[in-house]
Amino acid sequence: MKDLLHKTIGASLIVATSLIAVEAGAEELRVGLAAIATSADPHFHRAGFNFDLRENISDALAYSNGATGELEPRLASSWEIVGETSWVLTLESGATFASGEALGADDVIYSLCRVRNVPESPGLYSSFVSTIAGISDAGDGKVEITTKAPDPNLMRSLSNIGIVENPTGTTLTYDEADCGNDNWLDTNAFNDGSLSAGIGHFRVKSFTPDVEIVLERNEGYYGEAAAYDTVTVKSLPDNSARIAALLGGSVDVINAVPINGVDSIQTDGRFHLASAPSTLLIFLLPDQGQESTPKVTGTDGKNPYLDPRVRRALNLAINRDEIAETVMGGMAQPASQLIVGGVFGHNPDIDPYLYNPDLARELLAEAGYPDGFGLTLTAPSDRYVNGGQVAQAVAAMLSQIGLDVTLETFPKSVYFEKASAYEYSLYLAGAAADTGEGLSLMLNLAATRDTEKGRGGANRGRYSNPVTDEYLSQAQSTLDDAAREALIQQASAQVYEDDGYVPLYHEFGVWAVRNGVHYEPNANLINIFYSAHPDD
Amino acid sequence: MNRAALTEFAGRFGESRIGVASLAVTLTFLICALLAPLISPTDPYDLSRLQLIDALKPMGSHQVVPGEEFRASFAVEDGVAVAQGDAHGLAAQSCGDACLEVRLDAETPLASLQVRTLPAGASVEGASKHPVQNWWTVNTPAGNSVRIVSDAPLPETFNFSVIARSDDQPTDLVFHLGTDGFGRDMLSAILYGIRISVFVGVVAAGSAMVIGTGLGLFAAWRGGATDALIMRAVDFMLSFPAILVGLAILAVLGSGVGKVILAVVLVQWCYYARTSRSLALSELNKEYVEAARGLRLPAWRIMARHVLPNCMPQIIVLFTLNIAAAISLESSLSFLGVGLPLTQPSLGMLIANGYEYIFSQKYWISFGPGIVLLVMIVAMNLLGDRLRDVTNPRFER
Repeated sequence: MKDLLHKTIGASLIVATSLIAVEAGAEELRVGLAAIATSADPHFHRAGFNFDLRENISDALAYSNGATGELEPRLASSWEIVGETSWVLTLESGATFASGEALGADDVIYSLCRVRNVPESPGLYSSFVSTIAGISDAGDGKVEITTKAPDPNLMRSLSNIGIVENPTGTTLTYDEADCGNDNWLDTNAFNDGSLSAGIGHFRVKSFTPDVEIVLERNEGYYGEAAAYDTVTVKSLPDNSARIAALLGGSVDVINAVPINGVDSIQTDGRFHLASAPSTLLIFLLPDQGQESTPKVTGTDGKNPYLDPRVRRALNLAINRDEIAETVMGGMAQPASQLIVGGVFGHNPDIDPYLYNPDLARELLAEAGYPDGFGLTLTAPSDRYVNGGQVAQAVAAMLSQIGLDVTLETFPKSVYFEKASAYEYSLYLAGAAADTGEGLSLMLNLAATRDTEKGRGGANRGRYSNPVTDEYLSQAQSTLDDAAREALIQQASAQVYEDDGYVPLYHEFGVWAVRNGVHYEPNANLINIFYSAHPDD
Repeated sequence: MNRAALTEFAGRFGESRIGVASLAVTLTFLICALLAPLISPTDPYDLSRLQLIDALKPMGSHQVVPGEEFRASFAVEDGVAVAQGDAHGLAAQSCGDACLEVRLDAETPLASLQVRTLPAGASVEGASKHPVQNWWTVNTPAGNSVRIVSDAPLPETFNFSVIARSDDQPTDLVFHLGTDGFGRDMLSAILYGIRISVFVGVVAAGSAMVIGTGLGLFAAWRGGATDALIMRAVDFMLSFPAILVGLAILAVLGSGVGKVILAVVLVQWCYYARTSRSLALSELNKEYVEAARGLRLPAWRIMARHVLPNCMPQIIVLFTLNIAAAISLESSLSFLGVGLPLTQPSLGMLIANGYEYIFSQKYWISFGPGIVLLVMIVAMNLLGDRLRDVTNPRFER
């Protein structure tokens, strides 16, 4: 009896202490973001704010770590290249879906097939799987992927595709259409919580579009568990509202800290800034695709930007140091090439652009515009940090070399549509290296625009040089890292020589974090909640 | 209206002090709008004269001529710092263990000395660090020198760069209302903003008045299917909120003064059409119209010379009120970032620009334009109210 009593007391003590432990561990992280995911479906829409959520709730085969630049194993615990075009991936044996089913090759094939089969998607992830020729179950927990041509960046591309559970019960045969299947998971079922998005550090507890996403820790995760057991992600698109939420204590972390809010956060003393140079390049792109361009006056109908001297003049007229230091408050680094330093493919031999308005004026005169010409600079009003201010500063600098500049802005909802319809003559935009290396960025920006082949997608000014294209095509099928990097660097040098682009700066990602929370800044500007932890 | 009637009208208008005050305020703004290029201290639209160094200055500060800036980079090897290229008089020498002194030998005191890209662990005495970058700034360094110190010994070899700035020289131009984020003088920007707002208000409300009144009179005269068609179009337009129509038009067409005016006209013509139609319908039953018809005068002449003048008082009241409405619609659209071009700010856009700086305690950017807009719209509304009271026969004593 006495024995039983002891046991009871002991048991209740254990229960009590474990309750305390649960209390101590029951920590919540509240994050306020400028833009939150539009869907919990990992394949729904290719956009930065969806990459965020996907990385936290649905692991891909690999993870391109934006903090270290490394490619880390996730659902594929290892991979090797067998022959030029064939990869064998070993799947993580401990990974299980919410249903209790273990990860299998059929799930990988199903997920990569589904990428092309998401109804009503505003933008598919299909360019990430465009090089794949076939996928098959190699048995023994292995998957074999064959590519059409050697593809050095296959795993980086696949790091953007979340793996979901195969509902069909059969192993599909991969092709570039519907894989002979018509049973595709419904996007709404991911959003209302009836389907889990795959295997991730977190699971979606509730998803309210444009308001809030609540995540809870996945207790059965195969790798290192996340530190917080609940993460609440709030949508706070307004800059002032986001800072007010942080200062008022309703969130612990905010992203995209506006430059003019840095002071008030610094002086408060309860917060610190976490920042990292990002791959996001802000650039101007002159129209080089048509003989006469819509938004230019005083040139007798000619397109002045076809003349390399005019493009050189634009590059010389901009004081990048002043933009980075004053307008961006030091939260940016001046750029003279598309790829930021430290990222694969950056060319260290490219010199910074000189600021030389006198030479710019001379070049304009040489090109036949001694009195300048009239131009419209078009910029999005609500897309980039301080974008409007940067556009104004650029307009002021261009008018100082004798150009007659009008500045026009559009909200982002119509801005890019008009840019794709070639309605602008000189426009401001940004692009980041989604895969964490430079080749994808170069293909997106510097390759001749061909949207069907997925090249030059953001090259709406249609810079085109066959030499650059040749370097990039070679790089695309070169497996040797050093040789590939040299080719990308040569392409960068060619763009610099052609003055094809007017790169302005690479933005810093800036987060403001409450003291006591450790939050990892990410060069790809995505928000990783599982690496956040309380400070000890 | 003859002279006696005008005098009587003015006398009755003058009975209300508020009416007179609002008229005075409105006239002041009109004068500001007309004379803005003459009375404003700077031209805020001249991009080539803006300098970022004047940005965000509080009220009453002076415009400056930027001070000189010297940049030099140093390579440290075995504790000896060697300047790379032209050092502009800057020198660095050791001041003991893990200490390096950077000095500019010059008479004039420096405004600031900034040291960049120091090795990990090193810092600059008395400096404030940039929140993100490895930039250390000492303001008004004593003896034009700063010390780089470190707890651990400094590495054998490293590079750093130094930027020295001399004092900015103030000019005679004073920014009485401060400057915005681009160094624009707020006073000039407000004066030009009033000019744009008044121009948009008068032109848009005027065009809407001409178009709307014309259509209303036409509908009243023709009646039947024409009347039904025009009035259903009016009902259709009135069913949309004004701001929504404006947003939709500007999102498609892009920003610009002409497009804002177009948007306001599209929103406002229906008020005039509805008012003038109902006024004309009641006038058309009166004897003088019958007499004119008996004289077989042409329709346009009856409407323009007989009916229209009798509808005018109410339409003028509507016009006054609608100018205020047009200004506030234009400001709302500009505040939302779709109205006027960024380089030619109206009052609404100035407020929107300043709104971003509210949290950094730079209140003056939105404060001035906000007060001006408020006073202008209240004054115009009071003026319209007073005109209505005076012209309305029911308030006749």
